[in-house]
Amino acid sequence: MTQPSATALLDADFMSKLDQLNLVSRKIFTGRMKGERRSKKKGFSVEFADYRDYVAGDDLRFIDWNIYARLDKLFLKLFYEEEDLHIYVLVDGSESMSFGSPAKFDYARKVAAALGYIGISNTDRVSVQALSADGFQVFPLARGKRMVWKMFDFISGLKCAGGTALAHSCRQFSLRNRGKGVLVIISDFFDKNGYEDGLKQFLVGSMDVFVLHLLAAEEVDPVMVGDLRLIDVEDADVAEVSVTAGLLKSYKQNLAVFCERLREYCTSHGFSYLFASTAVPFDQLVLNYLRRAGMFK
Amino acid sequence: MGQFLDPAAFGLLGLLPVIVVFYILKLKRKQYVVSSTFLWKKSVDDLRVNAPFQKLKQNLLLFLQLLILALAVFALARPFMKLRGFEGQSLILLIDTSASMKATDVEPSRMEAAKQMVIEMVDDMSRGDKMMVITFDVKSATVCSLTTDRGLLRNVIGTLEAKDTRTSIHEALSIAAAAAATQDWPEIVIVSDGRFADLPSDFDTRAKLSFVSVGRRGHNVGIVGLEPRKNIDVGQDYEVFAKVQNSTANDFRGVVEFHVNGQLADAKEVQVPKGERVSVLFDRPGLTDGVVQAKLTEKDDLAVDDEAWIVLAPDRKTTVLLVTTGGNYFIEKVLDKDQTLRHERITPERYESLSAIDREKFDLIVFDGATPSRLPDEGRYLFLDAVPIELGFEVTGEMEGTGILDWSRAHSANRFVSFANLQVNRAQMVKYPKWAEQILEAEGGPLILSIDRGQTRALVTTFDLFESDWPLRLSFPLFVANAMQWLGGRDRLTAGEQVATGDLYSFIPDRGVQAYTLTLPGGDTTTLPVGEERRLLFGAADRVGLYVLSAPEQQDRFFAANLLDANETNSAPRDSFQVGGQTVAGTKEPVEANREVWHWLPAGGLPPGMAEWYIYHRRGFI
Repeated sequence: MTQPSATALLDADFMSKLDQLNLVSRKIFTGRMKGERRSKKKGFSVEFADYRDYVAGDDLRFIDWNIYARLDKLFLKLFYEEEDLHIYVLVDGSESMSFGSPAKFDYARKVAAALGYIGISNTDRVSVQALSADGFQVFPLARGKRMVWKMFDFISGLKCAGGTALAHSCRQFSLRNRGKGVLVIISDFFDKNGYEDGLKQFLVGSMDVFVLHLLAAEEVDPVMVGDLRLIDVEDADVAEVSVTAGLLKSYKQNLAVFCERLREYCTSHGFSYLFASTAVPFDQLVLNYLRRAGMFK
Repeated sequence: MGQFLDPAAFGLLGLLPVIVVFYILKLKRKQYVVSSTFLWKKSVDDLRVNAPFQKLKQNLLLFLQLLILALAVFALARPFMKLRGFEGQSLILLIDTSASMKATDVEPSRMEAAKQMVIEMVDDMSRGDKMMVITFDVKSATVCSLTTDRGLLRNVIGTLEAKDTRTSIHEALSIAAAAAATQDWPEIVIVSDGRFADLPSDFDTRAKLSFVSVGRRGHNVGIVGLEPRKNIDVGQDYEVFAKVQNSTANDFRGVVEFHVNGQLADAKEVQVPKGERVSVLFDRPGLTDGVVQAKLTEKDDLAVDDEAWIVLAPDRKTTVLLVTTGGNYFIEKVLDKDQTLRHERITPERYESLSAIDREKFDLIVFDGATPSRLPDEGRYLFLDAVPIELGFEVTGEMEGTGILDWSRAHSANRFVSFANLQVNRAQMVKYPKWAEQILEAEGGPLILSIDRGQTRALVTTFDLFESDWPLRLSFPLFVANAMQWLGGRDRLTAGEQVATGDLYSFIPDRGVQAYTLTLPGGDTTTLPVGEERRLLFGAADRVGLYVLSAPEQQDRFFAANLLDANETNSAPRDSFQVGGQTVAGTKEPVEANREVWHWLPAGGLPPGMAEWYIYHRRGFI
């Protein structure tokens, strides 16, 4: 697979569109650094939230002197603290993602780059990680526009290899990233052991989980004829089929059931499920589709 | 259907397993990498559960290939269907024009029905088909040689008419077989009611033989014999026997009318059980000459055999020529005594110098101890102690003192004769042809033989009268008198005046006559000029009835042509006939050719072939 350069991955025209997008989170998160996002945590910002009694050690700068003058009591002004958001973009880096034209992995990388760019543009902290049975490739949490190009370089350098081990990968991720934030996982969820054990791991944290179920156009609507020996790209498993209209119909039914089960699992566990096909042009997905799905303002 | 010209081709069905093997070998699946196989496996499993015919559907291509092969093999087996008409063939039609085809059991007659069917066959001719038309009755005629001209064929067939004659198919078949031998796809079709003798067992043709049977039923009573006989009791008077045959399914009761010179003379009631013959006797005092007509008055399917004529000539003495070296007292004595005979005696040398015409003046010739160097083709002979090599006899030796073993009491010459106690001292041993009949047999071999073949009748005695006591016995004059009657008697006389329809009538014209006018039964006349030949022949007597020969200053001469054929009278159509021990079954329809249908099969193989191509390229959508 040719590794697209950063410019090929995201052109300038597309990035200017991304600037206009804000990442939306339905929860208000805490963050270590103040960002542009209002937090439930009251603290020190410009927007007034409440008063509380002064206790020794509080910052004198936030005492409301007007109240003291009238009531002769020390009250402390509380403001909504603005904090930055942690955005984790997890890209399935297993071999199965290399399937399709364009390859699902390329498509997923573009989406990841776009999401990362949007996050960074909104002064959020962004981490991009590729996960597969072979191990993690991690771009650690970063903020600031100067990090964008580093992130793009990282994304360009990502490789997909190895099998899918969602349960293991997700567990590893959860252990390492205990914080709150937005988690976007982009995968085809073709895990022969099932996706449930993997997604279950995200219930532990308090992350806002978006499941982007990405399938190649060839998977949604296969164009294959004849007597074929289907080889699984990950484990070299073999299925011999004679492609007939009946078989294709059956396949599509099974695929629909698979997607529907995944969607049901996600909604019942508080995850947002989004289905995407590589047939949808990538910028359209990011600009319209994800926005409609509630990921952006 | 279901018939094949080349069933051996079915051996090629052995290729079916080969295709299956090839198919299995060919089924090396193309490798195709997918992101995951688990959905596919599930789908395949689902299909196996839900669609029992999935296997078949998966192997649709295989089945189509097997179907194409099966069709191809089927085509190679050259199946044919019975279709009307014929294709690229030479059809040789033999059309029966004998008397029985005049039967009206099918409207309007068998002949017309046959013509209708034949014209349908002409209409069914395809481009390149040829047809030949041969008619057969007692004679055969090629009325149209092989042609593709349908208009000509229709015209020729339209003019065909049945004649009053009996049926003889052999000559027509020989012509047909000869014509068929030069053709690629010959078929001989016999259109007839089947009233002909079975074909000889050695008849062989490469052509296919078909038989279109015409006629519906046999409902006919006819006269199959009309014979005069001298009434011994009443001197010169004739009696006439008419034989009536009933070929209907019921017993017949009817009337036979006898007309003499056109006047009704008698009507006899006759009862004939079904399938049998009964003779009716007509006798009338003073019947010595004239024309007697017998007539059945009942209507039936066939009219031609309801009438028959006989011409009774005024009695005249039988002329006998005795050829003897030194005279024979005993034989001459007997000949002298017989009032019906007139004889002349000549030496063998004189006989040899006689012209043919002079010889024909005699009704019969008696050779006494002398064998002529040659015999005319036809004649009546009594050989006494003479063995005619001309007739196929051969002397092999002598026998002595032989005793009588037996004699044929049924033979006319042996009527009232007993050879018991006859002593024969010495006789010649002969080898005789197979058509000769022993009528007196001794221990050592035949003593008297009889030949009745064609127009020739002969009696041959192999012993010298003087070497036996025969002349002294009563049996001798009786035998000679019988022999004279049988050999040269009245039946020969009358036979000359009546012929079977279609046969040649020959007669010796009266002196001085330049030409005869012949009036045919229908009233038409024709002129027969008398040329150098001293014998006139008329071969067109193919209508039943009385023919009148008239010439200036001469008495009219009559002769009759009669059908008198039991086979024609029995007009029941046959459904099949035998040829070479094989049965050819008849059809009631215009002939159906074995139209090969194999070329439809490759055409039939085209849709599966196209389907295979389509399915191959549209797999996944079907």
